[in-house]
Amino acid sequence: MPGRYLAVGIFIVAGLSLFVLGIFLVGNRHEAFSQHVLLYSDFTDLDGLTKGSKVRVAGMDAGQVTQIHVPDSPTSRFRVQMRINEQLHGLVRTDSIVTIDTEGVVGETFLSIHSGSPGSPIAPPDSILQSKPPIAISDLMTHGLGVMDDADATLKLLGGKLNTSLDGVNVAVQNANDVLVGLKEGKGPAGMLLRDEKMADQIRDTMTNVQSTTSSLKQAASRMNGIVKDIQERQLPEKIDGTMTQVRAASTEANSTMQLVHQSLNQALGPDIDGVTAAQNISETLTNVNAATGNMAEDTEAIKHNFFFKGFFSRRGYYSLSSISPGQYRRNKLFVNANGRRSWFTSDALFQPGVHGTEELSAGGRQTIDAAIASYGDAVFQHPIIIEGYSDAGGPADQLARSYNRAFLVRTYLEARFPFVAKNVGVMPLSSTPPPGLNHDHWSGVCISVTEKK
Amino acid sequence: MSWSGRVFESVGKVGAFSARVLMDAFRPPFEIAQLSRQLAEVGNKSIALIVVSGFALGAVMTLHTRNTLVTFGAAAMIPAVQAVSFFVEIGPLVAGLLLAGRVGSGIGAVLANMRASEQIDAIESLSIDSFKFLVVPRVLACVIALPLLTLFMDFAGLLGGFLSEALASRISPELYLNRAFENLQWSNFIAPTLKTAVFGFIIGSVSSYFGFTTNKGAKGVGEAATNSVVIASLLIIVADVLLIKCIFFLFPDTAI
Repeated sequence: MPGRYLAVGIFIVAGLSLFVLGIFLVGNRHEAFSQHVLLYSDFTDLDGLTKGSKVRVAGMDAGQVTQIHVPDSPTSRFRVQMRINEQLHGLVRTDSIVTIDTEGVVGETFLSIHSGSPGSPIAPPDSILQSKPPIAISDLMTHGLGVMDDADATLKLLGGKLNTSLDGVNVAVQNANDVLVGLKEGKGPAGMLLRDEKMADQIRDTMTNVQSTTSSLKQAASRMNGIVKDIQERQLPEKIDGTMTQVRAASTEANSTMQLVHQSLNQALGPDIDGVTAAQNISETLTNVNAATGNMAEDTEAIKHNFFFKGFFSRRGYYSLSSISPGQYRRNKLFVNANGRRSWFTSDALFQPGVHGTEELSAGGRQTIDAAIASYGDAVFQHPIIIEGYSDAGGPADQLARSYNRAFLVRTYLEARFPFVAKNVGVMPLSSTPPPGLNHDHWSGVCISVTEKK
Repeated sequence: MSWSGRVFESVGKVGAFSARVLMDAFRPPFEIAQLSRQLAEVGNKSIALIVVSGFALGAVMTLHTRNTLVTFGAAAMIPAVQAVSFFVEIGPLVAGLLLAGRVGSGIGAVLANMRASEQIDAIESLSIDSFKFLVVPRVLACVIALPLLTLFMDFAGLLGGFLSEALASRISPELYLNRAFENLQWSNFIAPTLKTAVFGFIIGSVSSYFGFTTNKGAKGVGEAATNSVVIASLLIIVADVLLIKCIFFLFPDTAI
């Protein structure tokens, strides 16, 4: 009898132990025996997410979906309650984004909480995290088909234009080929010039002489005409000898004139005492001029930063934002002018949370910037524009980084949207404190300042 | 009486018999010694059968599923498939059928033999409630033992699956265990395990009915043993369908 009770006891204890083991194994999977935090997020489309679905924080299993509140109207959204492990709570910040992801193409659906930015505070329990609508595979395929259609049409259009261009290029190449063949064969004056340097020199000298001779001959012929006319009119034999003497003298003069011209040309075009030709001299001269202007530019740049001349150049509108610190910028009267044209925008008006917690320009923000630029008129493209970024979130380093990021986002948008010259658009991160005298002691957002050269 | 009439009559009798078991189970005196004896008979002596069967089934199932899952690049899901299959369906159903074969026939034959040899009449002549003394402990033993035996089968199947998988892929026990319980919900573990208590009740009450109510002498012993196994197994499978629908109703998240 005692043996039977012992066997039954062992059987029951062993069975119950297996039950407890199973409870713990399943419980550990569902984090049933650890500290938890409840968080919420709203979705328009759940994409198959169900109660009990996994929740991952930065890719690590952190908990599960515990409740899904169904909306009572089409304009409302599903509110998903999720329970995550306290150990991973530190990764979830107020700017963390919650997305609905799928494990592979046919895998199960789960919630993914992306780590927020270090500067943002930890999301408090029971808070509502921002969500991003899921991307359905069907939407991706539809989008992909549209892109392929566009690409196909573009390729066809490009192919037609390429054919036309190639035909033109072929003709041009054929013509160039004919010319080059002719030149190589020495056909035509240019070919002879290319093929025979002596010939070219001779032609140059000959042409010079011909020009000079022609000029002298013109004079001589004119005088000969006068003499002959005089003889014909007066018919004085006694004047013949004198006339002949004058003709001889004129011929001699013409000859000497031609020699002088030829000599002058040879001296001008020929090598100098160092054996350098005129062309080489001109080339060297141009090089020297170029170097001199380069040095002058450097000198001018240096003078711009010189203490004595800085004011002069600043008044003339010469500046470089890259070499100005936020502190110098705040003190510079050129940039900080209460009468200047400025547009102040709050961060809420321009930005929205982007992927992975970073900020990005919202659609409304783009429209706001467009309206501000439009109000300046066409002349704004000729003026330097400084985009001042402001942020009051986090510590000083975070403020500086975020203010720079905001200004940079607006600059990128402006350069892409409007025909601004890149050198005319500058960014200046100013943390949370605008320059004095602008009626704003504290700001979080962006200010566009249009500067006019005096 | 027609065949269908006899069927309905049998259903009514089994129902009344089962209702009497339920009522007497909560009415003193409680036959603890008898319950212990029946637990040893139903539980302890069935462990070897259950564990070996579960181990073999687990190994075989992994061998079969592995090929398909590897083809689809889902080898990592082998432990999860094994665990969900055994905890949700294979463990409870196979344990119930095995117990119906081993214990159901035994209960039917023993009680029929006691009826044929007038031992039950002798017990009642001693002013002992033979029903409470013979039937209720056997049914309760089945109700208590089958969920525990199901757990033995589940974990034995998991062990067999692990050994089979480890030989094929050198997977570590920790990784196998993590993956096995990765997709297991509470409703996949507790509800299917507890539903086997209903299977146990079916085995105990049906087997006891055929054995306790026979009046055909030695021939009735054989009929009782055979009917116990056949009817109990059939009812277990039919009840399984109804119980799964009940589980889906209570835990709708598990019904995809």
